[in-house]
Amino acid sequence: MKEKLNKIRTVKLYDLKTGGEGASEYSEKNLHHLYVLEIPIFNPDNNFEIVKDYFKTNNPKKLIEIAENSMCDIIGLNFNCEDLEDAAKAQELLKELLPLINKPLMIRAFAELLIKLAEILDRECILAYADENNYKKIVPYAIKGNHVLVIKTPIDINLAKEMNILTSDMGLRLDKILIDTDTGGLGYGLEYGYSIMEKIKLEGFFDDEYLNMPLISFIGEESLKTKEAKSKKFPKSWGDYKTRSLMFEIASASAIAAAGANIIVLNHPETIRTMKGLQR
Amino acid sequence: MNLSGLQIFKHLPGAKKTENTNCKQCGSPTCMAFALKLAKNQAEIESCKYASQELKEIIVQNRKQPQKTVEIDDLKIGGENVLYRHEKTFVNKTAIAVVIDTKDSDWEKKLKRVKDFEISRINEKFKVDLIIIKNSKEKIEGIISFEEFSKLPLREIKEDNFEKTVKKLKKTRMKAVLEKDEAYSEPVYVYFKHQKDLNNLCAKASYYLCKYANMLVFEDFDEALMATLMTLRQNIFTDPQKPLQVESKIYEFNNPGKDSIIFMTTNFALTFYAVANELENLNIPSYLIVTPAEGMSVLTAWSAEKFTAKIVANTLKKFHLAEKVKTRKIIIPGLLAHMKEELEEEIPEFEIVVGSIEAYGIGDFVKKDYFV
Repeated sequence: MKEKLNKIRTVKLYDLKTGGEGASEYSEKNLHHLYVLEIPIFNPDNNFEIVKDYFKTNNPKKLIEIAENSMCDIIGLNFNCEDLEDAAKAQELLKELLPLINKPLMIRAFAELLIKLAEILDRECILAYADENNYKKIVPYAIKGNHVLVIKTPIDINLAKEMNILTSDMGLRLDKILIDTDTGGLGYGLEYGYSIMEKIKLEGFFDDEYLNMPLISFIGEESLKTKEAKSKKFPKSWGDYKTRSLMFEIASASAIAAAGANIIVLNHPETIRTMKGLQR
Repeated sequence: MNLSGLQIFKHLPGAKKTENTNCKQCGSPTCMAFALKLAKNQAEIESCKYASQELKEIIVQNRKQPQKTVEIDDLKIGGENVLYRHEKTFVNKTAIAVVIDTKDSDWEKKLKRVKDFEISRINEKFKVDLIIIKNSKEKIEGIISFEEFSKLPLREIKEDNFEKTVKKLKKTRMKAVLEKDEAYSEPVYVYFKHQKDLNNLCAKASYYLCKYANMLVFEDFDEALMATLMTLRQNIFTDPQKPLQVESKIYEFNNPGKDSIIFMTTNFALTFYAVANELENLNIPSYLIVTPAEGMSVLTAWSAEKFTAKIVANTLKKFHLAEKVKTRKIIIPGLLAHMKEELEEEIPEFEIVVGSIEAYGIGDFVKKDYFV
């Protein structure tokens, strides 16, 4: 227990900083999290019902306006399409939206599309995500654009470390990496992601330079896609559907914050308001 | 933190290589063996004539329970030993209590709602763990008064400012676990006064449930809030020491009979829970055959040859499926579509139907594809 304890690596994106917290459980910084509001921008209609009800629009520009005015720290654009034939259309959309976005930006798309989008980015962003199968394609683009890269591994600490070594061997700086451990949603194995995050944090504090990066978690969508958050057909004791659905996102965000996630990706602006309200 | 055998050994003659090294007078063959027994509480330090006063004190300290357990009838609160669930598992799940104040005009209605509240999730049923009644002259069965509650040996962590509350909760658990400081050994609770913003209440309660409230007391009562917190609690308090697998057997949902539909998957816990939850909510009777796959998910199991036609045939034989049901169709996971023919060759008495790829697609699959 007397080993020297260190701080988590700091990752910067312009003025935004994440990580840097010390091992002490009382540390102020452990309670400081960044929140991403992620919007399924390519096909806004393909979103969770309670979120759509809140947005009341599928117009990408209006959605950006809502996000800019929300309490999120980062705007996430999820190019939710599966076909590379849509690449030109997606690029057009991104070009159109970039001038409207002042907040720090995260871009998510499948690998082939992600690199096409990276080509037209006019600023440093967070790119999501590279994994075991596609990192060789994505890493060169992340390096070229000086982007921060999310590296996702399936609830496996050893693989997380290995991926960080492999990508840094390709020239990606260690302070350009965010670890995504992956996680199950609330009620569906959230605890596995929760514990892997805690374990990685502890390794980071014990100065494992390949595991001391900040953690990012896409817990919002995982929890909102559970049956409890989606279905109105639950017994009376499960309460009001809309309240429950939102609370599933809030409770899981709060739990993952407790586990030490530095950046938490959410879908409902009200969840972000609630979570930001905790850290003033 | 409990000392290991090796840490204790350092203080014994064997490690110091003094003249009484491995003297066997304690009954153990070596000092190391004695140290290992001490660490497991299987030996007493008094058996060693040569133990220093310092070591004796260390052992006494080591044996202390970090946190006391408070019992109210069947409800156990506290008794935790660790900071992280992956270290050992948490012992007693965070108790959830609701306060009823008879000065409120609709207190009887609220009491009924609290009493009626019950959810079931993955083979477990949850109710509000404790009802506390304020300003009531009569004694109500199964409910404790606010005065009785106040006398319990629990420590309140004030809920005034989120950051401060978190810090106090963390400090208390760390003092108890890492230092076994008796001043911090009482289980702790957070008392939530009535507030308008239930989302804020949900966020705070979820955080404290993870770190490190042994009990949460609410003046507000909302079914969705309770159900959400109890779902989170079920996750956080599952035993991480158990491998991520469930027993291989035939599981039953909604009282199936001879003609009920039959699903099949592997014994990876996450797959099982996802499928089981869907089947539970299908509202039609069904069976789920869970094959032994060393806790691997379906595709992993298939590529590692832990899900083969032979294994499936043996599983069906073992549980006498063909005799148990009249149904002659088995629905397999969509990811294993390529195994259809192979399976039908090995188990000719059953037709293999390819189901949905994702568990959440089961409902649609059954409605749109199966019963047509």
